[in-house]
Amino acid sequence: MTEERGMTQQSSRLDRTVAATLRASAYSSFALASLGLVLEFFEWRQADNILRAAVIFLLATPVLRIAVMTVVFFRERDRKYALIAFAVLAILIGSAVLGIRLE
Amino acid sequence: MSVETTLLLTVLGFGAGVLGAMAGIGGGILIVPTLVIFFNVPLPQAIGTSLVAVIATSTATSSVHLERHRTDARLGITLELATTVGAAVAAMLAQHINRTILALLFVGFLAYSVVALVRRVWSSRAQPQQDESPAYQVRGYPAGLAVSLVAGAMSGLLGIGGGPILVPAMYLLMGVPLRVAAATSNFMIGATAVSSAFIYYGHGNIRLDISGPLLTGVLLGSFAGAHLAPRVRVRYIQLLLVVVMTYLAVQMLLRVVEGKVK
Repeated sequence: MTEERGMTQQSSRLDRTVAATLRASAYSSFALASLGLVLEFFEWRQADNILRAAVIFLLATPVLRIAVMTVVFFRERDRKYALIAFAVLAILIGSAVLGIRLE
Repeated sequence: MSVETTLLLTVLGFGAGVLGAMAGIGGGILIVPTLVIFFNVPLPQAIGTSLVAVIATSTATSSVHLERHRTDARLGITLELATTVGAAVAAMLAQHINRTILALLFVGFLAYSVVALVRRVWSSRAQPQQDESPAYQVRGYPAGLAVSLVAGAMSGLLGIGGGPILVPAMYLLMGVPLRVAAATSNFMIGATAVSSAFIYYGHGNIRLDISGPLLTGVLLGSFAGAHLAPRVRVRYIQLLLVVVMTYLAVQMLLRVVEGKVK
């Protein structure tokens, strides 16, 4: 199985959408984590919950990234990759459910 | 946790983030042994917490790589089929593996990474850095997927990204240019690491008190590193990493010999 790789308009739209998702997540997670740290320094009670939110937000990012990819592939009618992305999404949701049940 | 420890963890994250983003090495390989050796964190918790940092590095740096069109997102998502399964299964096994064996595996992986890095520095000494990636065709999917399964398992077992396995696999087995392979591996690491991070989280092996400062430092360091990377001689960073990783491997081995691995 071989495929030609070139810089098509479609792949550049995929790159831009995914990059924007990751960037927004990274900034938000950074904002939450640094806020949590500052609050912890002042011994505010909710600081731990904010730090926990920052970590959970970060853990959700790759899942969100793959969900976005699934949607972009689907809208571009790239059925093969939409299916692959969806399968990866299912694997991640599976391991998340497993993790929550262990807790 | 004391303010001093919090600050030190932020600095550790920043250092791992900068070095990781500049040299294309996930911070995990530095963070796990540092947490074990200097912060006295039990190995499974060091591994689980490192996964959070690895996800942060991948998230921050792959947005930059994607915008420079160096990432093959289609190849990445295909190989993630294998890395995520390998990572989740290995993470479940890791909770039951003897910690001395786990620590020895880690030392082995550090040694392998040092050798791989030395070879890269040595072979790149004459050639100028390539800036444009040539057109290419991806081949060898079965072999690539098989190696990805192993890379995912190493990630889930040791709290690292798996780049030192994925990059050569894409380059040598699948015909992907080195730059694209490095960016794509980095892109994949987030999804790979999260697959095992969920399992570590469920077992209570992600320390929130450590993750907070670590993650702040890593995100800051990764952004700085990804922007600095084109302007810095990668060779010096790689040589620095060789020294740091050798030191960490020796320290980790000493702890195993002394029976101090928790």
